[in-house]
Amino acid sequence: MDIIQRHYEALSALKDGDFEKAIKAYKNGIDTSSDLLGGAVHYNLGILHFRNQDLGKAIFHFRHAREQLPRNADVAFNLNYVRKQTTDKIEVQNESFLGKFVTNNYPLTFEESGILTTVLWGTFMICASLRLFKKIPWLSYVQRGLLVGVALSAAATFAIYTKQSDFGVVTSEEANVYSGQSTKSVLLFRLHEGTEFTIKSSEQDWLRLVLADGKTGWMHKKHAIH
Amino acid sequence: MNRKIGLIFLVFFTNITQLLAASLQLKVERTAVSQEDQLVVQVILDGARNAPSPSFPEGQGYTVQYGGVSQQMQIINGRMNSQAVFTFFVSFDRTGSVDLGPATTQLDGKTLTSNTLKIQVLKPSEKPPEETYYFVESQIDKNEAYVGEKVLYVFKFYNRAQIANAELNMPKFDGFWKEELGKQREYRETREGIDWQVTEIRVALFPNGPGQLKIDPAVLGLDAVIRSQRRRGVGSFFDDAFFGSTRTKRVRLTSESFEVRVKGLPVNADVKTNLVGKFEAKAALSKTSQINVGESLTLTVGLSGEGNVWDAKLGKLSLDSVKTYEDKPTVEKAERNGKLWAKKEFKLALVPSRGGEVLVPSMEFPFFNPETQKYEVAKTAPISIVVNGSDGGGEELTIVGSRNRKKQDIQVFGSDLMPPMSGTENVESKAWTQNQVYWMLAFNGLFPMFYGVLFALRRRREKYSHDLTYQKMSKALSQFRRALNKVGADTEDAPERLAKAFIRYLNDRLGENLQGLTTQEVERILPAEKFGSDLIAAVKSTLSKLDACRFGGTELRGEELASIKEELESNVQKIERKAP
Repeated sequence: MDIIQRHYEALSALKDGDFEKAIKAYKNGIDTSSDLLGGAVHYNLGILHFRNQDLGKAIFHFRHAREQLPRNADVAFNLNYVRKQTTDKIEVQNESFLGKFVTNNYPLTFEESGILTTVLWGTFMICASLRLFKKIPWLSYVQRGLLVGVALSAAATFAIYTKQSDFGVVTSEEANVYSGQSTKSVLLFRLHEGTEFTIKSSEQDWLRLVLADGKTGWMHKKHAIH
Repeated sequence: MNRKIGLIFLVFFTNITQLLAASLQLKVERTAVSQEDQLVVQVILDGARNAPSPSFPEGQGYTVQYGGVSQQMQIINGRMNSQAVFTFFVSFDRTGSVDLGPATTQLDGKTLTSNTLKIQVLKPSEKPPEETYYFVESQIDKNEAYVGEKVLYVFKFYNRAQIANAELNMPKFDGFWKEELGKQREYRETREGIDWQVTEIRVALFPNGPGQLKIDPAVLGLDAVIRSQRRRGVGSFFDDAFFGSTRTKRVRLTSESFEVRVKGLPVNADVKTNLVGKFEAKAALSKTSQINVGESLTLTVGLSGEGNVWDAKLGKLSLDSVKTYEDKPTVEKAERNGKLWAKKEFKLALVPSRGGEVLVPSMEFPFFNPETQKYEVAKTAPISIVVNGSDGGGEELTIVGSRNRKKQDIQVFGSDLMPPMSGTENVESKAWTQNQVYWMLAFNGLFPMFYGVLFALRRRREKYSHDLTYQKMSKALSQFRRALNKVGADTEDAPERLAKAFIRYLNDRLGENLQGLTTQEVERILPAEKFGSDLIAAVKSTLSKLDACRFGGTELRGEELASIKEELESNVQKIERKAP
């Protein structure tokens, strides 16, 4: 059964209020964190998990939906909405201007940003090639502008790539974070459902995570979706 | 016609008005003269033209000789001015101080009398004192002042010479707050019968604190062009700078210094102010005195007059149920009739929060008036404001169509997520696989490669266009092959053509310019260490064969021709592989 059929099946179940069935229809043997799912599927899965009282999974899917549909207002609204339901208050520290811009305002997906960079880069090189054979004074200014554009879009593309590559969300009601890969290690802090983090590394059943405020530690994989 | 009448009326009217203001004045160029010289005296009749020649009193120790009259009419700033200048030559009968004048004339039955000049008549043997062509003067209007009271400082430069590179250093006025009164003024002034061009600078000074304050002299440095001492006898014509000799002299003129005794303001327990001068205060509202609750209006309080108005401060204005927001005050300064007039304006935004009548009370600015030596108060008049709206917490009036409604928070009854997406547009992922990302990166790498190819092409083209040897080298092979192909079985001078084609190839390809090729030359242009002895031997052999045919008269046909062409081709291919 292809994804379109499963989409209709899930919508039908959703209409009937059967969220479990709708989620199963979308999953149907596919890892829901897979890149094969489109933005609309992630968005609907976000809604389904939220209705099903799974705040962490809802945030996880809305984030994926936003990565694929960055200009969709409903996605942005729902992501903000579910984030407000979380317990942990984390002050973002030392985030670069580019990082903030990409997180909050950048209107392109990774793919769109990559194409934009390629187009700008190609145009820049074509201008450079033209200048090899003909002196066009204004072309140097165009070239400089293009170079700035290339630098910015390449930086933004890279930032999106790193941001979307490894993130996780706490799915358990409470999750302990330790100093090592064992429950016998020192308990550093405790997180609650819906808290987002960056995954630094993954070893066996443990994730090394970093929070936006810089706190870091090890958490068992069973407490998170990533 | 109307214009003519207008002109006649203008001239007639001008004559009447100027008659009323007619005056007679004596002017000389110098006030010290040798007895053997004649003094040129001008009697200027201002405000009239047609008057008899003025006369001088007799028996005063001098003889007057009439020298003529010139008349002129000027329109200055739209004002018509008539003037008659009578010239006299005066010879003195005795030495010492002589009173010249007054000159008198009759104008429409009235006697006009001029000023009198004191002339110093010197003995012929006496050297006349050096004439003054410039000097500076400064003055203050008082030597004693209160703290904050205005002291007027005036600097004047009198000049009747040609000057250049003037550089004025005004005093620093330490201990004073200073305000310059407008730009420098320039005018003419007659002093003891001599005309001076005067440049005047006025500065208002306000002492900062009590004590003895010193005002240093102003120093003016300038280059003055001085005419040499006058020739003896009459003749202003030859006194002209064109005929007379001149010299430039750097001079330094210093004005007077002053001391000002500054007193503290009289002690008055009830008054605390540092305003000194004479002021008046006014208050005004920006709108009508009736407004609605929540609207704002501006209250402007202005204090103006002569004195240090910029030091004025507005007291705290507290009004019941009115929020006040104070703006930054502004100060305006201007010169009025040589005096410094200043105005400070305070602006307050008033926003009533309740209906009813609001009374803005009188605001007071106490100041010390140095003229009366007393403390006085500038007051604003109280202003009443009627505020429309609720009075003391009652319901506000509902005004249909009004935009001034009170804003209120939206009442929220619930919140929920946005609905699911039912379309199929974004169901399938458009995300790139890892391979696609690599392909994209590789694609981006093609651009620099493409650029590199074009860059190399350009370099080649540049080199090709500038380097004839390189051009020949690159064309050598193709030209040789074309020549080789043209030689067929029926070509009569095949050996000649083949030999020439081969020699040309070697020349072009190896950057040489040889007509023929001897064995030594072949060894030189094809060094053995690079091309190998086999190749050199082959080339020599081929050339020998061709030479034998060329010079021996043997024709090359059929297999022989094909064989030698193959040899040549083989040699060329080997050279191509090894040549640079």
